[in-house]
Amino acid sequence: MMKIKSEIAKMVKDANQSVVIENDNDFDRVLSEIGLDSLDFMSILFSVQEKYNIDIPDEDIDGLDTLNKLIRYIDEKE
Amino acid sequence: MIGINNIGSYIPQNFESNFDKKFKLNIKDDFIVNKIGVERVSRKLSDEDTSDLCVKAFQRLQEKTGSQFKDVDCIVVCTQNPDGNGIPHTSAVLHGKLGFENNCACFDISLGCSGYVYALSVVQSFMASNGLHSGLLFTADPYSKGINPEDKNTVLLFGDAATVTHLKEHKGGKDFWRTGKFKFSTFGRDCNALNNQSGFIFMNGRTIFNFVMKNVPVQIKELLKAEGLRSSEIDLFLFHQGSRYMIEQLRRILDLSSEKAPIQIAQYGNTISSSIPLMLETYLNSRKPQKIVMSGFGVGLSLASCLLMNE
Repeated sequence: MMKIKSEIAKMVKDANQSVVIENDNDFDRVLSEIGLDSLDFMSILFSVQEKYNIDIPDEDIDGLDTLNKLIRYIDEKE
Repeated sequence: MIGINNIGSYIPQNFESNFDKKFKLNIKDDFIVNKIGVERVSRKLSDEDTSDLCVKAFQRLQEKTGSQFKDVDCIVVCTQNPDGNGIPHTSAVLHGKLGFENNCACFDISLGCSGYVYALSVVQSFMASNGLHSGLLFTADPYSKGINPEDKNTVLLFGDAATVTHLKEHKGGKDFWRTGKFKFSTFGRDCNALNNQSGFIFMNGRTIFNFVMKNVPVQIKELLKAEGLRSSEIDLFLFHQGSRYMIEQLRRILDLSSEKAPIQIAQYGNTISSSIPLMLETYLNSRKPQKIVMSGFGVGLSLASCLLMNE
């Protein structure tokens, strides 16, 4: 999980350079609260699909509103 | 040899500001400026049709060059929003409006955002194989005909415009542009990600984004490999202007600077097949690059890239 976490942090930076993840609590904050919008998240989801070779259908996206939820989702699918 | 001689363009001077829509569509200034990158979209007038936009682009070309183009023997219009309901073909309507001679070939090409690159290949080949000397390639795809004003995926993004590229037989020289190799791809399985089945343009932004990020860099690398060129040897990359964010992500993946892969979308929007020739017109007239890679992608889902040189 720690490895996924650091990889997700890099994807966040690639998606939006102005978003800074300062501490672990940020992984539990709603995406919009840490400055990520729908386009940033679309880019992160693309990177996740490519990196972990998993498919994230549109219907699963609404439930992924924090980075930790996304990390758990990846961990379960891998 | 057939190549590009000059480009004219027309952007309707009737604009809708995206800032005026931000409360209705619940978006922020940052999203308008830094994400989609479109501050206003151009809109044709209600009594203008696709061929009218083409006529105005042609008039700009005439003003620019001082030529009447009496020798034109080929007119091609790339559009998926033709005059009326598509019969007759818009290139024939345009031929009538421009008053060209009867010995002139006219046909339309139905392609969207990849259309300019595709059409360059088609028109050059058609002219060369039939011994034609002077052709006009028009792009005009006024999506405003099918925009739902409540749909923020499309109403903030797409603008109307037309361009005309003059292709002619030439022996070479600094003001003559010839194409190198082309690459084409289609991903028809996802063709409904951008459609107009209901009378309104529908776009699944996520599917389009994934398609672009996954396939455009691959095709660019294949093109460069086929040409035996490195990315550093290309002066300019002209990508279809899907959105600001899309181009910025392509820059990041392909490691390109903002100077090498410009964004030209803020003042009129994503103009479909006109986005690349609008930029090409700007840069041919100013920076005088030697080698340009052009890449169009979108409706289809279709992808086409080519090299353009003036050596």
